[in-house]
Parts: sequence; structure tokens; C-alpha cells
Amino acid sequence: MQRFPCPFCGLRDEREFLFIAEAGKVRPDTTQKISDEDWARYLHAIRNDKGAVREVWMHLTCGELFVLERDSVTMEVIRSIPLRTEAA
Amino acid sequence: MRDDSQRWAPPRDRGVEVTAPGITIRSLDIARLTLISGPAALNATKFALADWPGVVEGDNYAISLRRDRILEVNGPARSDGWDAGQNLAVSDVTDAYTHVEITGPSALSLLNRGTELDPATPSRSAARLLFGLGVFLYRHGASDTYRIHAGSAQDEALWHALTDAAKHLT
Amino acid sequence: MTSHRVSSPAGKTLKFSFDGKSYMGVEGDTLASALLANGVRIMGRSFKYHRPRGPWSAWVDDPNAIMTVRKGGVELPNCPATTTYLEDGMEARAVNAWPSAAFDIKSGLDLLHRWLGAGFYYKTFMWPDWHLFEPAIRKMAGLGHVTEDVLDGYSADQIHDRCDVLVIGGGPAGLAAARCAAEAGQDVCLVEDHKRLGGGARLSERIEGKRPDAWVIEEATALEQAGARILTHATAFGIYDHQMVAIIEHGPFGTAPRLRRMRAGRIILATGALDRPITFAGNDLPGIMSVTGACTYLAQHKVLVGRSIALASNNSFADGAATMLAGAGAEVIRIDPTDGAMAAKGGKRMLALKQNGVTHAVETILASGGQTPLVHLWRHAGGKLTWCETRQAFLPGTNPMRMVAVGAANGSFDMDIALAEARAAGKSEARPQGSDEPPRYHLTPLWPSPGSKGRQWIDFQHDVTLKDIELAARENYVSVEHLKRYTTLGMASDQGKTSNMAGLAAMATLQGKPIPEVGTTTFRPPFVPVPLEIYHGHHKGQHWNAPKRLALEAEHRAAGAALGEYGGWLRPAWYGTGGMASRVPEEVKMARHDAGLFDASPLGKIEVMGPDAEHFVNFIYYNTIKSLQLGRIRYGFMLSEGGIVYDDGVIARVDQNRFIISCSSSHVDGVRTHLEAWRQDGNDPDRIFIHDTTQNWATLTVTGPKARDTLGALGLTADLSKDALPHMAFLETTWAGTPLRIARVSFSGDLSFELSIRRNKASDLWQALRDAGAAPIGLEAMAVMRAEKGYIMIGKDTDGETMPHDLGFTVPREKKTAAFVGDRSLHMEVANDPARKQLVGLAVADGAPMLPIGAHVVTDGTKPTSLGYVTSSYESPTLDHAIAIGLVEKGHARMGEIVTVWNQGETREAVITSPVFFDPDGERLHA
Repeated sequence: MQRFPCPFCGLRDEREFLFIAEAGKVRPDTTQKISDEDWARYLHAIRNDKGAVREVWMHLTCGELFVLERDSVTMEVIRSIPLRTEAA
Repeated sequence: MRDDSQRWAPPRDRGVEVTAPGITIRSLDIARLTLISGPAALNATKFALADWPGVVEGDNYAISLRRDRILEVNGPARSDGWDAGQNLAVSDVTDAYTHVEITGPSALSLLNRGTELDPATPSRSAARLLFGLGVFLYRHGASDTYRIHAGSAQDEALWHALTDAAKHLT
Repeated sequence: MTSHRVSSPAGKTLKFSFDGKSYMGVEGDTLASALLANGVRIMGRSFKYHRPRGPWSAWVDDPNAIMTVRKGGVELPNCPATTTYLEDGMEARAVNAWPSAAFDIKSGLDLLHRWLGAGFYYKTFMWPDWHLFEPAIRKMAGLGHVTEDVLDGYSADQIHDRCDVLVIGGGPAGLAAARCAAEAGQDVCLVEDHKRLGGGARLSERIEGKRPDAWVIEEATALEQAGARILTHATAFGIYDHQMVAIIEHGPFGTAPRLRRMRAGRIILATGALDRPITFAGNDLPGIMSVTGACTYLAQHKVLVGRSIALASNNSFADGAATMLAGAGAEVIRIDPTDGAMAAKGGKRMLALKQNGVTHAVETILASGGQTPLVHLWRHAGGKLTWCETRQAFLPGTNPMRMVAVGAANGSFDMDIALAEARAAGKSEARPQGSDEPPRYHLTPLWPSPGSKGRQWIDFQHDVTLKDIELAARENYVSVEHLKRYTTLGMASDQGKTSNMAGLAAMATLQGKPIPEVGTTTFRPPFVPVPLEIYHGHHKGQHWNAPKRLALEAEHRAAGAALGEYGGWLRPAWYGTGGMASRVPEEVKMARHDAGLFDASPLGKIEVMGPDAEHFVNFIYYNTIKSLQLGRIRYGFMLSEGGIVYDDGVIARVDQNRFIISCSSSHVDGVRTHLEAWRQDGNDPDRIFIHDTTQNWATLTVTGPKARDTLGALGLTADLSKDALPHMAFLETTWAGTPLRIARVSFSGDLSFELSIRRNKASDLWQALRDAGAAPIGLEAMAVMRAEKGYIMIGKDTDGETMPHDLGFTVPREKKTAAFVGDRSLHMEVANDPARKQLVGLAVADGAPMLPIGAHVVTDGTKPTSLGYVTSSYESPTLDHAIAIGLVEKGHARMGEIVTVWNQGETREAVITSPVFFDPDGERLHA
């Protein structure tokens, strides 16, 4: 059973988290012309790297979306990076 | 569709307390709960914030839920909706939650039946999973007294999970 | 009598029986040690050939002595005799043997062994169909039988726990490591699977100059004084991610064990090592035992396993063993098993050991082919193994995270080296200097020799012999994983603890490869068999995925509701007696004629607020929401980014910056997460806020021609007339001093009002509406009414390919200019395919029975192919004929076409129609 660090809540049980996507994809501006290939790549191309990965996860209990860097082989968590900035 | 009305016990009497070695479990009533979100929601209340593992006192306080959300307990009346002046979204959710209080020296041991919970691992939020249910959990009044809020519709599930686990306390 | 007790240990005398015969044992005995003390050697029968078997060892590696044990009305099958502690009054029976292990009527199967080799069942029962033979073979297979009794209160406690250092194994290395860690101020937990600490300590004459018992007590006392926790009769059976260790804690016989999920800061593995068997002719006979097993019975239980013993060992451990056994009065002859092929002679009774033409008349043979470190947990945690040529064993290699192995588990078979490295590990120091020197422990390599004579057992319980390995190699099942599945080698209840090394070494020889190149099979939890109860604990009955409960459940029950689980909620299916078949049509007719009262509380109420709320919901919905007026409601779809319909529901605009999304009842959690993800990814989360208030509200739907009259009885001040509150309009008012939301939304196709009130006031409103004449209807009636109207249920009438234009909602796809989730996917090649399945109605002739749900609409011709299928089908009480809707290829272009509907070999005709069977002009809806 893994534990992941939510940037706001701290270390929590993996059951509280949901994988959203690999990090780094940007939604194309769909009001502009996008080729089928580009859209298909956005939808379906997944790196699925062995080893160090960067992923977007959601901490379901608090709803925070963040980037998690971890090792997909050893399951070691490297760090989590907030997508949000602290409120002033 | 099968008739499962016998499979599930009818809703319990919420007035009944359960005691087990080292703990008492009882339901609470709370007069007003207000969900408040906004860029600076954590500063939007004059009350103390409940998080983990801090102990919050009294009848009026707020529960820290996330970076931009609190749940005010017995706070002042506020109008529902978007408050453009204060940049806050407000919903009266008084009936959305069911409330249970566990007190006694075995309380933490009981809670550890439902989640991995450690006072040495602090959290800025009281929201977590307990027995697989989404709850708000914090200490109230004393370090061996815990309050749990779960969705109203999950009152039976929470109560039975807690009281069943309590049977293992010796 | 062969085996016997050499002196009486302290402890209470316990009465028990085995295969119907009574015996006496002593407190602290296992079933196996107590039986050996009584001279009983045959304790079981092998799985396939029903060969008589005695215990091979004294602990978890024994594959032979498996029993059904009964005590105090509790019967548990498959208890290993070597790990089941004796209790007064136990009645044990050997499994897989009848009437007893000593006289088993199926032992004749052994005569057929020539034909029952590996793959026998696969090859023999292939023709004509395995399924013809399967029931009889399955009945023969398996070991113990589960009784039909349900044990009261047999519910495993599951608890999470944590410590700085978890030491697994309470032998010398584990005790030494734990003590050092505890004395360094760490929070230490030591797990030992026996009831007593000490492990292999008692096999030594002296430890650090002290008698083993004294040394163990001293270490244990120091440990406790340093504040360490000691769990005995508890086994760490699996290591999971991030140092989560699963520990099973046993209580008295018949009580449910406890699962402790221990999160350890770091783990010290001190699990020791096992003797491996020697592969020789007749090596499965009762009376052949491991050297450490025999020494353990003597040291722990004062039981000498035989009077005349041939000690066949290839390693230096045997020296101490010989002395120990001779000291207890046994006649011991040493045999060098590497000196020539051995053969055991005898049957139920051991007669002799033959080697190089010499016959040694002995009644017991102790064997050791070398020490195998217990590295199972190391592998669970992802640690690597390295082959040690000196020790002829796999040793822990690269460390998994925060884990170290010490003592015999690490191949440190010399006590001083083991203790030194254990203490260093306890203090988090590097292994001490000198610990890499060649060990004093030494052995002569000894592995099975394929092609040699006699029946030589590799897996004792499953009767896998050396010949089976040879057969597997000939048939090219050479990978260890294939070898395992083909021969069942290592699949017995000991999970290969005795058999794997011999099996893979034999395969290595057959392949002409070194052992490490052949490798091992995967080590998986659990390390020892554990009852399934440990995994589910309280997650059963009412606690297994408990449904959400309605505020009005008591009222529904009082009204005679049949309750069913719908999308995670326990909801009324229908009301009253007479069964679903009669009640549902009656409820539909009533609601179509008067006013039905339906509990719609689980419908989502997700509020979206903030300055960007309008922009956000316009992006989330397929439909244009931007143009939605205050106090108005719109029906719409949420799509996945792939353009597939994910949810349907209505959205109401409460004010400029506030919307309420009423998504499907079963989808609330999913929709909330979907919204939250898009809010924070690609939008400004400081300008949009999402509150899921679903459970704050109860929603009661009043539907039917008399719905407005019914509401009239509530005495509301709000104007509910057709003009003031038309279809798809919304208002907030108060009733009895409480806020009340009224939405003109209809799922039945009739005039309907959805009334939402805070949950704790729901019963007042329910009662007022009942008093006003509305009669309750259940979900089944509502499902019929919505189908009459052609309203879909997502996931029932749509599938994983359905896009909104397939359902007839084409405008946003063509006209909406703003970006929305899934937009671009609606213009991909697949979305433009003219042969897409589209929503249609399927009409049958008057009086014809309803079409089965799932029946396929097929092409004509000799080889029909599917064009689509029926998704919903009912006998319509309103229209008095069968109705159906379905998804059919090019359905919208086929209106009026007669199609063939196929179901399980039978075909019928249906006409493609509009899915709207009831009130197509919407007069009743807009009433």
C-alpha cells in the first residue's frame, strides 16, 4: 500500500488518490483547426515510461490536482509539486 | 429487481450510544454547517481551524478541508451563492453530513481499524478516507476525543463500521 | 516405537485424537510434535498418489502433515500439523485420506503412477471435451473440505500500525538486531511466528558462552526494557509497497486471526534458512526428515524422532546435529550423500538406506542438501537475488528500499557473523568488517541427477518426481514458470519451500545451464497460507460497499416499499404486496392518471459558482449553457474528451454566477471529480468553485396530470401556473418556513415538479404530499414511464461508443463555436462514419410479447451480422403493448423499415420507429 504526499494535506494512503493523466499534455485550442493526428496524439499517446515518471494525480478527499514524480518500477515517490500557489 | 429490504437493517435509532472497552461512540447534532470556498477561504472565518492532529475547542469553529475550502460549524448565517464582495462561494450544508463523536483512550486504536492514522503525521486538512468513506476527522475538546462527519446518506455505513470495529477492542 | 519423548517437558498435559485414536500431548506441542511423541509417524497422504507421509520438518516448510481439526464445534480444514499448536480436546484427521492416514483406501492410485505423470489430465481428458470430466476430477482434487457451518463471530480484526524498525524473525539474529535498534531509541517491533522466541538458537550448544535459553531470555528482557514490542505467534506474510508489512496474528484455535498492517520505517529481515531435501530413490517415505526438523523436535519438544538414524548431509551443519541427537540416545550413522546414489527401502515403515551396495538398517533418515535462506519477503519487496557458489544458494542481493537481511536469511550461517551483522543492522550501521570472509559453513554441491534410477520426489505434496521434470523438459516446458504450471511443482500448500530449489536445479542440469541462469519462479504473498477471512475482515454483509441511504427510508418501509440497490443507493423499487409484475404496471397507470410521488433524492445537486462559472459550465457541457436565462433549466450531456456521452442531466441557472448541475443519481461522485479536474486543469480555479450539496437535500418528484393540483394543497405562495413556471423553469420559495426549490423537470413525460427540501425536513414534505393525494411510485415504474417517452438512461441505452449525435442531439456539434470537452472528437473519422449506431424505437405487432433486452437487430441472408441491439424493453401499461428502444446502425435513416431481431437462435420482426412512444407532441409534458 503506497502513500503519496498531497501538496496541501501531506502524506496520505494511496486509496485517497486518483490518477488523472501523464503530466505535460496541453489541451489543444479546439476553436482553431487541429489535425486528426494532433488530436489523436493528445487523446491517446501515452509514454508509460519505466522508471521515473511525471503524472497528474488528484487527492480525492481534498480535490487537489498536483504533479507527482515517482518511480514506476520501485514505486518510490520522488516528490509532489503543487499546481496551485498558496493564497496570499 | 430483487427486493432487498430485508437484507439491510432499517435505519438505526440515532440516540443510542455504544460503549466498548476504552471508548464511547455517539451521534451528535449540529445546528449549522456552512461550506465556504474561495481563493482566501482559509482566512474567511473568525473561528479556529480544525486540522490534524490539533485539538479544536468549543461549539463554534471551522474545519479546514482544502487549500480553498472550510466548513464552518455553528458559524454566522450567510447567504447561499457567490459573494462577489468577499470572493466566496457559500452553501448551507447543515443536513449534508452526519456527525459521530468517539471518546476514550482506545479511540485512536479504533480509528486505526479504518485508516492509517498517526498523530505524528500532521495534515492541514481534516478530510480523509475512514473505512473507505469520505469523512472529516479531527480532535475536539481533548486529545482522545474525535469528531467525524460523513455524508448524511452514509450514516448507517459509518456507524456500523465503527461499532463493528469496536467489538475487537479488549 | 520409533519416535518418542526423551524427557517430560514442563506444561499441562493435553488430550487429543488423531484419525479417531486418543493421545496425550503437552502444552507447547504442535500436533506434529505431539504425534511424534506418541510414536505416530504417518500423518497424511500425498495429493495425487495417496502415498503415506510423515512430517518432513518441524515448521512452515512441511508439505506432508495436513489435517482437518475440530474443537468445540469449530472445524477448520487444511491445518498444517507442524504449525498448529495443540489444544486440549482437539480432534484431528488427516486430509486426503480415508478412513485414516495409515490405511487410506485410495492408496491403490500409487500403482498407476506410471500413467499418471505430469500432464496426464491435460492429455487424457482433452477429447471430446474437458468439461465432461471436469466435475468428477474436481471432486477428487483438493485437500480438506470446508464444512457448511458458519462460524459465529469469526471476523478478522484489521488494524493499521506503525513502527520505526520492524524485525521479522525472533531467532538469534532478529533478537540481536531488535535489541540494538531499541536501545538506540527506535520504536521497534519484533515479529516471531512461534509462540516462543529463539528460533534456531536452541540448535546451538552455546551462544556467546551462554546456554541458548538463557541467552534468549536475556535478549528478550533487554528488548522489552528498551520499549520494543514483541509479537509472537504472528507471521509477516507479505511485504507491500512503501514498507507495508502484512502480519497475521493467531489466537487460540477457532478464533479469527488479526491482520496488522504494519508501516515500518525500515525492515530487518531475519527469517533464517531451511534445509533442502535430497533427491534420492524413495525419498518420500515416512521416517525421512530434515536435519533441522529433527533437531527442532528435540530442542523444542524433547522428542527424538528415531532411535536408529542415518544422517545424510552434504554440509557442516550436520556435525552439531549428530552430537545433539546422539546425546539424546539415538544411534547415528553419518552418510555422505555426495559419495553415491542413495535409496531408501521400506514402505509405511522405514527399513534401510542403501548406498554403494551397502545396506544400513535404520528406521529414520535425516537429510539435508544444504541451507536455503528464506528470501520470500525480500522478493515481495522487490529485492534482487544473487547466486552464491560457495553456499549453493540464492542470497539477498540489491536492497529493496529501507530493508536489510541479516543472519541465515542473508546466508550468514555462522553464529558470530550473523550476530555481528544483525547488531550493525540494528544500529543502522554498515555490515561489519570481516563478514565477507568465506564462511566456516561449507558444503559439497548436491543436486538431483536426472536419468538416475528410482522414484525420486521433488514436490512431496503434489507428487512431482524427477521423471516429471524430465518429461516437462522433453516436452519443452523449460522455463521455470512453465515447468511450475505443467507439473504443479511448487504449487502445493508449502508453495515450493521444499521443492523449488531441487526442481530448478534439475531443470538446469537437463538444460546444461548453471542454476542462476534458470532462475526462480516469482515469490508472491502470502508466505504461509492464511485464511481468506484475513483479507475481508469486516468488509462483508452490510459493510461490503454499503449503499447510501435515503432520508425517507423509514417512510418508504412504512409504505411497504421493496428496496433495491440502484447506483449505490438503496431505493424503493415498487410499493405494496403482489410483486413487481403486478405492482409496477399499477403504479404507472396511477401516475399517468393522477399524481405519483417519487423519491428522486439521489439526483446530483452540484453547485458551480464564481465569476467564471458560466464559461466553465459552457465548456463542460456539450450543449450551449451560456445562453441559459436566470430561473431556467436546460437538459444536456457531459462528454468525455473522446466525445462519448458520459452523463446526462439538467442544469439550472440560479443567478449570474451560480448554476446547479443535477447529474445522474449514480454519477455524482464521478461528475464531481470530472468537474474538479477540469476546473484546476486549464481553467482558473480561483474563479470557479464547486460544491457538491447532493446529500443536503431530499428531492420529491410529483408527476402526473394532477401534479399541480396536488401541490396546491401545500399552500405555497409561488405561482406554479403553466405561464409562471413552464416546463424547464425553476424557482426558490419557502414551505413551512423552510427553503424549497421547485424545478419543472420531467423524466416521466408527464407534468412533473421536482421539489427539493433540506434532508431533515423531507418527512414533513412527504407526509404533506401523501395527504394531498399523491401515491408513491418506485424506480421500476419510473423506468417504464421514461422508456414510453423515449428518454434514455446513460450506460443502459448508450454504450462506450455513443456520441450525442447518435441520440439525435446534433445542433451543438454543428453550431457551438465555444470550446467544450470532447468537441474535436465529434469530428474525427469514426464520428463521421455513416454506419454509426443510432437511437431508435423498435415496435412489435399489437399483442406480440416484448423483445428481449440484448437481442440483436441483424442483417438478412444466410450469415446474419449484428446491426445493433435492444437496450430497454417493457410491456407499456399506458399504451397496452410492448415497447423497446435500441441502438441500430444508420437507425435514423431506417424509420419504418422492418428488421429482423435475433435472440438465442430465434428471430422475430420489428419496425424501426421514433423512440418516443408516448405523447410525441409533448402536450402532457408542457401542461
